[in-house]
Parts: sequence; structure tokens; C-alpha cells
Amino acid sequence: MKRLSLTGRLTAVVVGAQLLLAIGLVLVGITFARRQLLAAFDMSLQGKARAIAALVYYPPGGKPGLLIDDDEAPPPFDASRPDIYQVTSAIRPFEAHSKNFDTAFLRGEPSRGEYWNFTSKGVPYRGLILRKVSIRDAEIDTLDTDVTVDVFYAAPTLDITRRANEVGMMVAGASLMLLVLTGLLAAWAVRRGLWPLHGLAGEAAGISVKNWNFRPPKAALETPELAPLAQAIETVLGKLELAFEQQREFLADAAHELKTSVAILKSTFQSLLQKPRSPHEYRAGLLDLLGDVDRLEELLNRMLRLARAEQQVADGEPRTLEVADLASTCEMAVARIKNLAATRGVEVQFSADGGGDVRADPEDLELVWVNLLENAIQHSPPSSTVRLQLKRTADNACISVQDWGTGIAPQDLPYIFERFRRGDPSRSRETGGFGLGLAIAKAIVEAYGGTIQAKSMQHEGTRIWVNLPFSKQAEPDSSAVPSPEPS
Amino acid sequence: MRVLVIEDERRLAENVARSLKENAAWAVDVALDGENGLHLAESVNYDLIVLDLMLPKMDGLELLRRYRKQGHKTPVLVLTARDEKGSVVTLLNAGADDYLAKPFDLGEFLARAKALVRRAKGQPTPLLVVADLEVNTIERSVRRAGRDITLTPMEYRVLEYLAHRPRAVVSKTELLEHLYDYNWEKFSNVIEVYISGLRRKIDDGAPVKLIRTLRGQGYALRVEEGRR
Repeated sequence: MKRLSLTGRLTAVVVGAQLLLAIGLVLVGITFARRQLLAAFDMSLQGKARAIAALVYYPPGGKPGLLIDDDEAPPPFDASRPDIYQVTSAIRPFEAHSKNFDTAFLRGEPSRGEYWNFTSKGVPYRGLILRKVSIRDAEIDTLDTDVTVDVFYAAPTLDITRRANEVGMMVAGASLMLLVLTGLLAAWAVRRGLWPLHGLAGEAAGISVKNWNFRPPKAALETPELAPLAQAIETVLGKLELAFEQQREFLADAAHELKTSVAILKSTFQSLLQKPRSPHEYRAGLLDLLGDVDRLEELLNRMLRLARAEQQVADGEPRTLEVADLASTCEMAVARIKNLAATRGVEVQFSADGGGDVRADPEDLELVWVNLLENAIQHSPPSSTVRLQLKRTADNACISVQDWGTGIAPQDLPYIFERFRRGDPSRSRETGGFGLGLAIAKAIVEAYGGTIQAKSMQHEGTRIWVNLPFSKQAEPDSSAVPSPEPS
Repeated sequence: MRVLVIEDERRLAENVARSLKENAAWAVDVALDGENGLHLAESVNYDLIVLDLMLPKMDGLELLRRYRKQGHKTPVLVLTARDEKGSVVTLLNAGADDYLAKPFDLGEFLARAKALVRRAKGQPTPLLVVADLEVNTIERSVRRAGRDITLTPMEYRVLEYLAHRPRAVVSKTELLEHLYDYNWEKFSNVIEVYISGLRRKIDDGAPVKLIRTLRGQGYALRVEEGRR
């Protein structure tokens, strides 16, 4: 299901809250208006009751009883639904009432002196009884305090309900108008508030492999909610660009090396075919070609090995559960490099100051040592020595390769672990290097969580050392069998 | 002609040098790094320099810039494994005369090399003509007045060098510098042997002599004025 837009959702929340508020206002308004109207109604009810009492007078000539001048009764609230009244006196026999009076009405009085509601012929009425209201004789002009009357007066309340509802309708109408207005306002404000997000999206959409320029709009950076997003995008893009550039560089370097290798092959073929040659010359040419193909194969192998090691670094997971005995991998490496060392007239010495096991593929480690030794031998003058040393620290194994050769120029030192490194005389094929050996060593060491460093003095020699952490399961002195993992 | 090949891939340098020697009969020196290459280029007056770009010790582009800054006019043919448009423009602007992307065709390489040398010496076509003498630098054949002349490789080298610059006086030292690379034993009197051989094969029996010896100055290939 498609989810509502942010604007839609926020606007809905605002409108919903407004609606609740409006309903509340209407209810409060009706209640309050009703109460106010009732208070006014009650006051006038009392006034009218007293006015009725004022119409009662003594009969002339001291006759018993009382008389009422009901022609002058106060005007009703509503002419079509006349008021109801009854006047009685307990002291003198007297009773007078309106035409629509019924004694049943009086039975509803809750307690003395209180107002109550009842209905007469379907019309709601509200009434009260005023007791012991003194009457005055205008003619005698003496106040007979002894004679009092009780007055019942009731009037229809239909009007109150109508007017209270009117107030409610008014509040509701105003609320509804405000509701529409605030809804529109909210939608506009949210849309405007989200504008920096559009800017951010627009900027992000401009990113491509050719353009890594990402400048988050100022508005986005100044918005607290968007700043982390903008910064995250910036950081991620930076990393991606770096990785992409590295890949591109690797591809360009690889293409360069491959093209060169192919160029050699092609030129060998073509120069062989340039003119008719003797069988001996053809044979020599074929052997050259074989050598060229071997070189190409070696280049491919090394490039693939490097790519694999770099992938391992990128994946960041120890790939193996194997345990390698450092001393024996060093010995294997020394054995493998023996021929090259002999050809170059270089002696390789190996010393181990306490061995140890690390969690790594032994073949990988062997390759690292071989590459380091190869590099050292290539830079060593004849009849010099290359020393491979294995040492232990608290939780690291330190393996170093030292030569007393030409050394590395200080300006080249930071780049010796880069693939296809330039400016290195070993790249000239005299020594058979591709400039990949140290790059492969670095990638493998880093894949196993280790570090590799180099120090060099020109004309004095170079020392490259590797620190590898001992694996926790493979203690240095254990019998190289890892304890089984609890499942 | 003498060519310098600056290329760190030894096998490629060998192949290029071999084809230049075999096909064009030129003298070839090889430098395997930039420093050595620049040193050789500065100390010998080459007829062509073949330059790789990615070199140890000194980058090819840097070498080219320094070489041109010193005012050398020798044509430079660049071999590059990168063929992006930008880098080609940079190359040509830095003073390269032509370039070839690796892997290249050896035949095309030779044709371009010959064209560069030819143009540097003011010759528009591979067929060099002096009076009724024709030197075909593609087939390495020589004809005089429609008659084929067979020369030894060294005689041909001398003639080809002279024929590229007819009428100019070429000293013995210049000939020595341009006909031999560092691997050859140099004997100055050998030049005289080749000249006399050429004179015998080309001028003997011809009404007009073309090979001239100017005592104390050198040799020239030209029709002698006033004796036509």
C-alpha cells in the first residue's frame, strides 16, 4: 500500500487536532450558553412570579378572601405557549391560576424553593414556587404582613435550547472555517519546511561516476533534522569516490601492464616474421615467445592474487579457521626463494626467537614472506645478506626482513606498498618484478588484521616488518589444535 | 641512421631494436630507464628517439620536456599504453612528433619511424632521388639510370644517410656518429673503404660523378656544378 506523503500526514495530524478542539469548543459553548441563559431565565421567572403576587389585593370593604387582577399579568416569553401560574394563600381562602394550569405540575418540585423542569402538552417548561410573598393593599395602604401568598410560576424553555444551539452552531461554523484555513496553512508550511529536502535530493541526483561533487544546500545543513542526513550522504559519497577511484586506477594500471605484455608478444611475433629465418632462429624466437607468455601468466596470477587479497580486506572477515605455524611458513618461504637468492648471489638468513601460531592460511603467509624476501633480494648487491627474523611480543608476532642493499629514496618510501609502483628500478625487468609483490603482501597482512611498515636508509638498506596478532583460539604455546567452538 | 630506444621492458626494447636493425638497417642504442635515456639522448646526435612513457627513475614525459628545453630537434616517437585523448594532447604539446599506442603493429611502427626521420631531413617521400640515382628506403634498393645496384649493408647505410641530405657536406665524424651504435667497434678508416666501394658501384662508367670528397671537410652526394 502506498503510504501517505509527509505533507499529507502532518496536515492530517494538524486538522485532526483542530477537529477535536472544535468539537470540544462547541460542547463547552453550548453548555456555557445554556447555563447563562438559564440563569437569566430563572431571574426573570422569579420576577414574573413576584409580579403575579403584586396583582393580589384585599377585597374592598373588609370582605374575606383575596382578589387578583389577572388582566395585568406579565406578558409571556412566547405568546403561542403561554406561561403557567397559580397563586394560593393559606391564611385567607384564595386560589387563582392561569387557564393552562394543572395541579400535577406542582408535584415535580424537588425541594422547597428550587426550580424544576416538566412538560405540558409536549412543551418543556421550567417553574418555581415562591412562598410567603407578602401582599400589599393599595387602598388601605397598610402592610398586612400576616397575609401571604404562595406563587407558582412556569414558562416554556424551548427558547433557551434554541438559543444555546444557536451559539453552538456559531462556534462550530467559526471552527470549521478556521479548520480549513489552518489545514491549508499547515500543508503550505510543511511543504515549505521540507523544501531543503528537495534541494538535497536535487544535489544528490547530480552525482555520477564523472561528477562526485556533492555540496549539500545551506538550507539543508542549517535544518537540524536534515543536517545528519546531508553529512551522511557527503561522507558515504566521499568513501565511494575513493573506492571508485582506486578501482579505476587499478583497472588503468592493470590495462597498462597487460597492454605492455601483449605489445611484447606481438612485437616478438612480428619481428620473427619480418624476414625468412633459419630453423635455429625460429627456435630461439619460439623460446622467447614462451618466456613472454610465462611472464604474462605470472602477471595475471599476481593481479588476481592482489584483487583477491584486497577483496578480503574489503570484506573484513577472517576467511579461514586454519592455524598457521609462523616458523614453518618462514622456513617454507626461505626454501622457495633459495633459487633466486643463489642466482643473485645473496645469502638468506632466518632466525626465530620463539615461534607462535596465528589464525591464517599458511599459504597466504608464505606468499607474504616470499614477496618480502624477493623484494629484499632484488635490492641487494651480490654477496650480501638478507635477514628474515621472527620475534614475539605480548600479543603480536613480529616478522621482519632486512637487507643491506640500495635502500629506498625518502620520496619513494610512502609509495612502496602501492601496486604497480613507479620510480622503482625493480620495475625494470632486469629483476623480473611487476611492482605488485609488496602490494600483495600488504593486502594479505591487512586481511588478517596485521600491519606492515618499512624503514629505509639510502645506500644502507631497508627493513620491512609485519605485525600479526596471535589468534585467541591459537595460543602461542598450544599444540596448534584450536578448541572446538561451542555450538 | 641512428636511433635511441628508451623502454624499460627489456623484451620490447629488444624487439623494437631488432626490427629497426633488420628492416631499416639503422644503428640502435637501447636505454632501459629514463635517466640513462636522457643522458644518451643528450650526448649523441640521434636521428630518431623512440620513447616509452612509464619509465623507472625518470618519467618519459619529463624526459621529453627536458630534452626539448635544451633545444634538440631530433624527432621523438612515443610508445604509450595509455591512449586517453588528454594524454595524447599533452604529449604532442610537450614536443613529441608522433605516438603509437601499445600493443602496436611493428610494420606501422617502422613506417612511422621512417616517415619521422624522412620529414626531419626534409624528404617528402621514401624514394630519394639525386639526379638519376634512386634510393628506395622501403625496399632498401638502389638504382642508377634504371640499372639496379647491389650494395653491402654498410654501403647502403652510408648512401642512405647521404641521400637524405643531398648537396650537404657530411663529415666523417658525423657519418661515424650516425652509422654505428655503441655496440660496434669504430674504425674511422672503414668509412673511406665504404665510400670507395660506393664510388666504384655508382659512379664508375657514369658520365656524371655523384659522390664527392671534399678534402678535410667530408663527403657530399651531388652533381658537380659546371661539369654537367
